[in-house]
Amino acid sequence: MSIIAAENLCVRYRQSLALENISFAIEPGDYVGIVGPNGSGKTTLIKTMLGLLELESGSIEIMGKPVAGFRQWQEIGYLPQATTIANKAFPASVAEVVSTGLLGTKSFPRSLSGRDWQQVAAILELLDIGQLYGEQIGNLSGGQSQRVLLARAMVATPAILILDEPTAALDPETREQFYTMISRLNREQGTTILLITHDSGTIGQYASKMLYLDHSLIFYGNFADFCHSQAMSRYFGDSSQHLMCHQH
Amino acid sequence: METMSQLIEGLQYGFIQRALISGSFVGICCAVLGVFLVLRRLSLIGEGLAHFSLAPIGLALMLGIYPMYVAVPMAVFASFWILQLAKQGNMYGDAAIGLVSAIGVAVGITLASLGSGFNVDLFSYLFGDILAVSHGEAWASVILSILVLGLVAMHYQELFAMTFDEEFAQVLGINTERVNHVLVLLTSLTVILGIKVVGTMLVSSLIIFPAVTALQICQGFKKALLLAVSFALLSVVSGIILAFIANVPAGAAIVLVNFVFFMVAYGVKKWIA
Repeated sequence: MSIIAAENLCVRYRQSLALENISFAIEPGDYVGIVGPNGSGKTTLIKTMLGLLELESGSIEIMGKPVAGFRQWQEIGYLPQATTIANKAFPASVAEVVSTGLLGTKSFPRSLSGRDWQQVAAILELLDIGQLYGEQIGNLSGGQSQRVLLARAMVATPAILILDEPTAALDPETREQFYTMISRLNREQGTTILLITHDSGTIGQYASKMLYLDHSLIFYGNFADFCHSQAMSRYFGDSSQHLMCHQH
Repeated sequence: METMSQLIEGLQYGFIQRALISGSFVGICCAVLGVFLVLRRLSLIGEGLAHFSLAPIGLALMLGIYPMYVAVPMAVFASFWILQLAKQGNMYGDAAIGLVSAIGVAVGITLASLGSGFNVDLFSYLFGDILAVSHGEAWASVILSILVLGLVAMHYQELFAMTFDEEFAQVLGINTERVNHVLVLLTSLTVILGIKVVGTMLVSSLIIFPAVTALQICQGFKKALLLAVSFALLSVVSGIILAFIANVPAGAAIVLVNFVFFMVAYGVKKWIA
């Protein structure tokens, strides 16, 4: 069974059709790179998967259930776009922020136990930021913030991790570390990864599948096929195409 | 020495005791809600609701009804109206607050000019009269404060997650619309209680000052809540005492004490940095 399946999906955003007749099926353990020009509907697509936007027509299923009736939100980890902490004065520790990632597993009033705090500490250790546990969220660098918010997305050990341009604010070295970490998760824990990126030089090294979107679906399939497709050269250009396919 | 004996004597009076009890409970509620509202950039909702309540208070005074009976349901209505305008009226939250607030003030002033003989009463709601709190109002403050604090405690995790990142909270399966409704409902009840303490003109200061003062110096969200509550209690108690001793309006004294606390916290923050 596909872990995410879309069938003739159409989504309207601010009165215009942002997604038109999108169909694809993502299997458990896939690492899908989602690419496309600015404003092509990439973020709209994942927000629809997350139930944040309504469908105009068609269907989208997560783990075999229509998104409107899907309730196992703890199975999905989400790292939103532009995740630099906007309010530097927000009075919360790293542990408090990461702990919110566990609330999807709790029923009202969603109280946290000692075991939950241990889980928070464990995920921070896994991402090599254990020392930041009690640090104020506003004191972190861009790279540290990104890891903390990734920890928030991962703390409930979700089956699917959805990342919206996670490396946009990172320097090249931190970006490389980030990709390595995500790839390790995919390989070692079988986590399904959906990653939106403009990072054409790097995504080819890691993704097993590519989804190329420009309001409608231009390409969806294995990376090897993407390398030889017209969609690839149209979006990335011939030189990047050569570089990506060579690295993969 | 004379001041101390004056103070001890003052504490024997029922109206001072009621003022301290009512002011403290309202102050605690305002401080707790204030931390969430300030961080969500909704702090002016208190100002908007307080100003809007001039209309129902004016109407009630004109009809000879106890003002709170009309002000409470109308403030609740106004709070949901603000949310609805912000969500579906294609406008930012501050514009929705300004719009609802202006309507309330305009209706209140119109009613005051049409009626005669209740302008003095309306004046007391503009600037508050905590030393005139009745037994019933003191009890109402305590009961409503327990309700407000209980509901905040029950929704604490959801409110915290939403305050930090509302979209992420939605992805977690939190019904953010319901929690937002709870927050504005509690705010409208608290604002109405606060009108008796400092008046419609200053009630938003009870929401904003303790929160922003705590946010200057604290680390951690629960600590921020506790510190805001401490500043609120200290300012209400010392403001009422100051008003009694110096014979100045209690509402204004509470706000000025809050301002002093804020300046000290701001100075400490700058000094540490």
